[in-house]
Amino acid sequence: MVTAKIIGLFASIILFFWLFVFGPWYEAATLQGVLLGLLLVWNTRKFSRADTIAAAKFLGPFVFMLVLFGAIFQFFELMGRTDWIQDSLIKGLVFPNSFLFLKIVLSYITYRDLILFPMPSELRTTLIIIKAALAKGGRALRRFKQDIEDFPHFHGKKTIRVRLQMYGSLIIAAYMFLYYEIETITLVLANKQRHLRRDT
Amino acid sequence: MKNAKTACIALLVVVCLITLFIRIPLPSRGYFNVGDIAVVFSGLVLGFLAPGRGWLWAIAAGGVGSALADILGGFAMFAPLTFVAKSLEAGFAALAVSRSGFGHYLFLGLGGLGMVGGYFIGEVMMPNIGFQGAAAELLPNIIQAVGGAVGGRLTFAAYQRVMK
Repeated sequence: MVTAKIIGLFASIILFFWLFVFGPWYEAATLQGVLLGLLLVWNTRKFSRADTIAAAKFLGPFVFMLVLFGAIFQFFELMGRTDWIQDSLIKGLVFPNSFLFLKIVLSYITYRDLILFPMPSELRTTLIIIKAALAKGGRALRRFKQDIEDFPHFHGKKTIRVRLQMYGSLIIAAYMFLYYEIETITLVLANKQRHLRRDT
Repeated sequence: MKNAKTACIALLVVVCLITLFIRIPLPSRGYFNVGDIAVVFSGLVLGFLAPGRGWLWAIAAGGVGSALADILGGFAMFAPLTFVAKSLEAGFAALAVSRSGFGHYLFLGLGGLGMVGGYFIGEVMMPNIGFQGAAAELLPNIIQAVGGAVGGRLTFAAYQRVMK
């Protein structure tokens, strides 16, 4: 079931890219425009309006820069081409479409799917360890960041040097914390597996 | 703290979390990525822990960690490109650690160049970004590469002092 779901999702991604990015409908501007509208609605329904606004805030400046650079290239007729601006406008639709489609489709893959997906047991164990470390590390990182910001040495200073010191300290603290956490998780998992095998 | 596999998983998670949580927005696309400091740091640590094969562990930590951050952060479209670019950055950092003087900084520089070049070539080849988009990204990526190399190197020096 999980295998079929993941294969289906990846097949839809391949189909999308074949049709809209590399294939026959790449230059169909009207179709790409309609698709953008549909994807924005889908994104809002799947996540939230705030998420769609955040995506637009991410995409907006890049699309603007893309068109701006297209206009500059058009002005200089770079490489003898005179279609830079038209090409940039199409890219300005295709880029958000492919970005949103991948974002939405991949969000249907859950951690559970990854764990249930047929794979070698060592890889599965590594994935479980990474998942546990991500959860522990996420909580610890917020705490460490708060602690480091409260250090008298860093307090109220915003220079690049101080920021580098802060982020460096944060990386070292997170690494040392996670190293010992992962050692413990690995040991606990190995014990569980050993005793489960003995019991069965 | 001498087990390369444990260190690799820890650094993979650090790279992913730092990339996800600490972002400084840029005027073009996205954000300045403090994750680059973590990528270079992971390369240096793993190159130091496992001389000879450190670059392979560094690719796993820096490349996979950054690509995972892209997927979890909703930037899945860039994940394959990020994997290649950050793998180069981390891999060269791992190779830099066993060299001293000019060679050390040369390899760190090659890592940064690999990251910038990897993104540029990859984005030019993507039909939905192309040459215009790749050119718009060039300057932010150069800033990111320099910041990552300097920050990563200084963080590694501080880490070595902590471990003494």
